[in-house]
Formats: sequence, structure tokens, C-alpha cells
Amino acid sequence: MDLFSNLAIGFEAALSPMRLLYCLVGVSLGTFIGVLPGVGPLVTISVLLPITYGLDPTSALIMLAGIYYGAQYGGSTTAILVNLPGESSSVITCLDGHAMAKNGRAGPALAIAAIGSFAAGTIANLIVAAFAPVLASYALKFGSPEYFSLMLLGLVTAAVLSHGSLLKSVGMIVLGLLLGLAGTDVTSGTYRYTFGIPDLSEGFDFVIIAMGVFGLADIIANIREDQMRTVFSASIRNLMPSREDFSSSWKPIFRGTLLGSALGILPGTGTTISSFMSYAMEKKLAKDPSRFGQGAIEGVAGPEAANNAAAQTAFIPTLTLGIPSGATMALMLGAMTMFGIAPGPQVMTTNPELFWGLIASMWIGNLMLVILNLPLLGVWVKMLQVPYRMLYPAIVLLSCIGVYTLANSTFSILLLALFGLIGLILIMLDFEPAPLLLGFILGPLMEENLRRSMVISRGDPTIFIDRPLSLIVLLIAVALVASMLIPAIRKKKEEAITEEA
Amino acid sequence: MPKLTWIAAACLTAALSTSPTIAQDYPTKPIRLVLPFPPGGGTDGVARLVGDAMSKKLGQQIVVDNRPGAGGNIASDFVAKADPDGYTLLMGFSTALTVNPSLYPNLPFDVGKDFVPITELADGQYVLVVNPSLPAKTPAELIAYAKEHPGEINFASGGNGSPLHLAGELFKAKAGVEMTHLPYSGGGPASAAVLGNEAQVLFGSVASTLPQIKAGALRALATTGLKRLETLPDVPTLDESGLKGFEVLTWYGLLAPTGTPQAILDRLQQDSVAALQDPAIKEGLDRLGLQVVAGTSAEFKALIDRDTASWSTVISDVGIKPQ
Repeated sequence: MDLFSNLAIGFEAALSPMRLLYCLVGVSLGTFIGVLPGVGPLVTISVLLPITYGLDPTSALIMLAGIYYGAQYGGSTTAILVNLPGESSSVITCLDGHAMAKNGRAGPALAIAAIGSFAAGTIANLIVAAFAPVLASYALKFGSPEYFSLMLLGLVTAAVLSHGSLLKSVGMIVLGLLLGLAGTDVTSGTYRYTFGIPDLSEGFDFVIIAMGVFGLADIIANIREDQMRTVFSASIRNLMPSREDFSSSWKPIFRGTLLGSALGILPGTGTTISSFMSYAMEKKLAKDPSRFGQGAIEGVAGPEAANNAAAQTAFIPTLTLGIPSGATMALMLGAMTMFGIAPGPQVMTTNPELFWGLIASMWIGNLMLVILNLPLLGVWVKMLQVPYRMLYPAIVLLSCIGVYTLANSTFSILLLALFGLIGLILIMLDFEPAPLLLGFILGPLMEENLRRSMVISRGDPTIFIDRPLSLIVLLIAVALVASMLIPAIRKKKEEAITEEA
Repeated sequence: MPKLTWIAAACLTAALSTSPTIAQDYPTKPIRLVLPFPPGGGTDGVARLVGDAMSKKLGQQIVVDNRPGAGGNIASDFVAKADPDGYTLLMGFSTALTVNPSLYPNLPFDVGKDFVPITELADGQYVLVVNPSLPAKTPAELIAYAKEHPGEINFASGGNGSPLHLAGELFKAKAGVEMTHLPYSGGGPASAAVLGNEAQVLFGSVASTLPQIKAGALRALATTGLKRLETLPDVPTLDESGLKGFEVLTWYGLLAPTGTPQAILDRLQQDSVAALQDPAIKEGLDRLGLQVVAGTSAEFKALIDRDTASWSTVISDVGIKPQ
């Protein structure tokens, strides 16, 4: 079996004591820096990148992979504890993860995130090891029309996300789309909604909006209501998930893993969209969807698994095609080039030790993450018992520092304050921010791919239904819309019938 | 008033008499090297490589400061308005300095007036690659094919006004062919598009296309410099393939704000040139698909002026829409 001999090469490379140590150092540093609010994997990796320069390429990449997973898990930790998503994929974790924390269940939320991630990582790892070359060519079958259809499906799932009014969530999606338009238009190079401010020429940074409308708005809203401030310290029950938690989580973890593994291969927004879609799927499948948003453990387990599986399979296009799946992967790719590794179709044959070593170390990194974080659960949860008047100013300060590092600009901090206020207004009017963020991420991508598809087809819109992959994705979107509308229509009908009677 | 005159006189004397000592003392604190791009790209790699080597020569740390945005204009503006004391330098990137003045009419800085070029560090070529399903095996065959099928070939780029786009437009103009431009958000997605045959033609960077060329996933037709690439000795230049004078290079250079003392400029020029002689740097740049240049400041200034003039003609001839 090729798979096993390949993995053997990898584990041989990754299991030397020194490399295990590098992996552990990477995971620990990544976790501790990634847990700072506003500091997502991108910033963490760029800060820690220079410390890997002195190592040999394989060790350096193993350490980087450790930093990457550590930072990602650190981001989920802040999302659950203080409602601050450090990057797009942890937005979803905020929804039910933070709700669980408010109910005194921060421990199980953090644990299930770590365990779900590990399970997903293990499966995704086997998928990468077995099918990397095949899957890379599958990613190339996704052209602009397919991406457009996928983004459309993503927007439809955004409507499922909210547990309040459908109209309000559509409103938030549209607002997100509008915010996403700011910046330079890729197709024409024109500046849109930049108001002559050069800092806006690349548009709004996702992290700023996410931290503003989630974390900062939440903090301000808490000050308005006295009793809210004591919720956290009230009751912290057991740290580990109960048997019941496990039995309701394993299926979402498994489904999330499959979804994430498939979407992670697509360069672009694989990781983000997979966590959103997993959440939407779990909510659709749940017997009682109303629990979602109130602290449903499935809403943490599924998306966290999806996100981690996608993060794993995202290495496929990065390593075999040299195409990064996002900003963080672009940074990893840059680092590889610095170490003299040219990612491309031949990386598996020219650097087998490196390629399989990296894959093996991804799994080891995941394992270390669980080992490192389960004992730390108590520490993180204790953090919530720090008095509000000390904890929250510290979080605001750290958030400002985190946001400043995005572009080394104070303008980012002003924007954070602005989005904090916008978020506060949204909370007061009972709007949910998650659909806004999804609209913000998907809008520009959808537009870009739509316009490019139309150029490719020379103006013929049937391109979206002529291509089988695109058609399938569109049909799923239609089915999802129907599943939302039909119950509503039926209800109306029944009402009408009862009225007549 | 007397006090002011005194200060002015003191400054003048200081400037005239002690500039050699300034240069001898310089640098006494870390130097900030401002980059127009986020961490992780090619420029970042060049800056970190050269910065590390120069730190050793100068005896002070060179701190890389990433200030991305507005096609490099944010970084340029920041350095243009910084104190000209030799502690804030710009890592200049070819198109950010030579194309932006034609593309953006209201720049808050003037490349010619606000910067003194120190040295061109390195340059690199682009590679004209096609999807192997296209029958063309040489630039001449590509031109002939494009003439038979006007507008049918898509060429990918990293966005409107990006270097890859400009190289493609220049090729269209010089060869007299019609191809449809497909802009992507960056060079990575653009090469993916050619790999997946959504676009057929791309002017790509050496670093991103070389592994694909070697694997046979992309076919290299030509390079854009005047000399052949060492890593692709069998691939001709466009200049020798019938498009006489076709030259598009990407380059990186060091610049300081105008007003920086000459002695400091000289010191920086000498130390950066010396740092570039290190074989490890050469090797590192080679991996990024770049060659060491390490020229004089006058040569660098001439390059900026020449490129600015030629891009301005291309942009107005082709009609790339200014902002």
C-alpha cells in the first residue's frame, strides 16, 4: 500500500525527538499568541515566522504547521470565551460556543472544539495522504461559474443561520454584501466606497468587522445591563463534556469532517464556508432547531470539525498546485519558498520527506493540541472569573493592539470602534451579525466570479446551468430555499383552510 | 529671531562639517524598512533576505514594516513624508513606483521629487506560459493562432493594472493580437486559472510557474527579459522571437526620502551592494526567481525614469482606465 509506506516516511521524519519538540513549541506558541483577541492565525504566523528561519526546512515547516493549528485553536478559544472571532471560520463558533459559555458550559464547549478538531484532523489527514494528487486535479475543475454557484449556496445557508426573523437576516446579508463592495474592484480596478481614504483601498478587514460587531458590541451591551456582568462567574459546572454531550456530538463531527474535507480543497474560502455550511446543516437536521444559538453543542462540534478538516485539506492545493487557499496559506507558501521548496506537482516526488513529514506532523500537531489544551481548560475557564471591570478593559486594549497589527495603522482602531457601535445598534434592534459577516465574505467573491464567468461565456448566462458541477450546486441551493419556504407556505394554507372552516 | 538664526547656523555648520561623522556614527538605532505588501509575498522575502544581510553590515537591526494597500501607495506616501534621517527606507517595487503615477492621477507624493534612489537590489523576468491544450509551441505560433481566433483566447492576470496585466497588454499591442483579459485576485488564482484551462495565456512570475513548467502542466513559450533565464535555457526571450525590444522586468530597490544626507545614502548603497555579494543571498533570491543587480544610485534613477515613461505610454495607448 502506497498510503502506508508514504505515511511511514512521514512519521519517520516527524517523530524524531527534536522535531516533536519543534511541533510542541509551535503548537504552544500558536495557542498562547492566538488566544489574544484579534490575533488570528495570519498575524500569529507572521509574528512567529522569523523564529523558524534558523531551522532545516522540514523542521521549520513542522513548527509552522504547529503554529498554524495552535493559532487556529487559540482563535476558537477567544470566540467561545469572550465572543471575539479571530478569523472568519471562528465566527460560527461564537454563536453557540459563546452561548454555552454564558450558560456556564465553557469547559465542555472548549473540550468538544478540541476533540472535534482532532477527530476531524485524523480523518482529513488520511484523506490527504491517500488522495492528495487526485484531489488537486479535482480542485482545478472548479472554475469561475462553479465558484459563483457555490457562493450563492453559501448565501442561502446564511439565511438558515439566524434563529430570528428571516427578513431581518436577509437584510443583514444585503448589508454585508454592501460592506464587501468597499475597496478596489478586481475587474476594473476602480475604487468603490473608499471616500478618498487610502486605508480603505483594500476594503474593510474582516477581522475588524467581526471583532467590532461581535466582541466589542457585546462588551458595550453588557455595560448597559447590570445583571449581565455576573453571568459568567455565576456557575461553572463540569469542565469535560458529559456522555450526553458526546452522543449528540459525534454525528455532527463526522458530517462536518466530510463537508470540510471536500470544501477545503477549493482554493478560496473553503474553511470559512465549510463551517457556515456545517452549522446550517446541523440546524436543518436537528430535531429542535430552536436550541441553536442558545448553546447547542452540535453547533460547536460540527463547524469546528468542518473548519479543521478544511484547514487540513487546504494543504492540498497549497502544496501540489502552489495555490494558497487563503491569506494564511499564502504566508505558509511564502515561507516554503524561502526554505527553498517550490510547491508544485513535483513536491511529493522531489521532497517526499518534507511532504509526508508535514502531513504526519499535522496529525501530531492536532494530537498535541488536545494534550496541551485539555489540562488548560480549567485555566481558560478561570479567566472568566476575573472581575468584569478588569477583564474587559484588558480585552478591549488587547483587541486594539491586535487590530493595529493588521496593517500597522491607527485607522484600523477607529474602524473597530465604529463597527463596535454598529454592532451595538444591531443588538438593540435584535439583528444577528453572523449573516452580515457571511454576506461580507461571499459578496465580493460572488461578484468577481459572476463577472468573470460572463466574460468567459462572452455574455451567455446559461454557462451556470450548462456546466454539470455548477448545476448540481445550484440545485442544492434551490432545494434549500424550497425547504425553507414550503413549510411557511403550507402553514399559511392551513391557516386559510381553518379560517374558511 | 536671533535664537532662530543661531539654530539655523548651527544646523548648517553641523550639516557641512560633521556629515562624515554622521555617516560614521550612522546607524545608532534600528532602521525601518517599509514594504508595500503584506508578509509572505515575494517582496517580503526579498526584504527579509536583504534586510538580514544588511543588518550584519550596518551593525543595527533592519525592521521590516509591512504597510500594504492602494497598490503600494500607502507605503510610498508614508516614506515620502518620513524624516529624511536614514532611519526610514522604502523597499521599492517596480510597478508601485513606475506604473502608479500613470494609473492614479492624484497621488499625494511625487516619485521623482520625494525619493532618492539608493540601489536596485534585484530584478526578475516574467514567463509567458500557456495551457498545454493550446496548439502554440512558440511565441510566433501563439501570435498566429491568436490572429486566426481573435478574442477567443483568455489571458489571466492578478487584477486590473497589475504587472501581469500590463505585460499582457503590452504583448497584445506589440504583436497586434486580440485576447480577452480575465482579472483574478492575485497571481496565484491567475495561474490556477491557466492550469484549469479557464484562461489559456499568462505572464507569470518565475517562482510560481517554474514548478508547473517542469511538471509539464504549463508550457513556457518565452521570457520577458533581454537575456534568457538560467533556469530555462531553452526558452527564448520575446525580444529574440520577433518582438524586438520587448522587455518587462520586475524589480526591487532601496529608496530614501529626499533630504537624507549624502553620506548616509552612500553608506547604505555600499553596504547593500556588499550584502548582496553574499552567496547565500544570491541563492535565496534565485529561489524567488530573481537575480542580484546591486547597481549605482544613478543607474537606479535612470531605470525608474525609463520605466515610468514607457508604462505611461502603454497605459495611455492601451487605454487602461485610470481611477
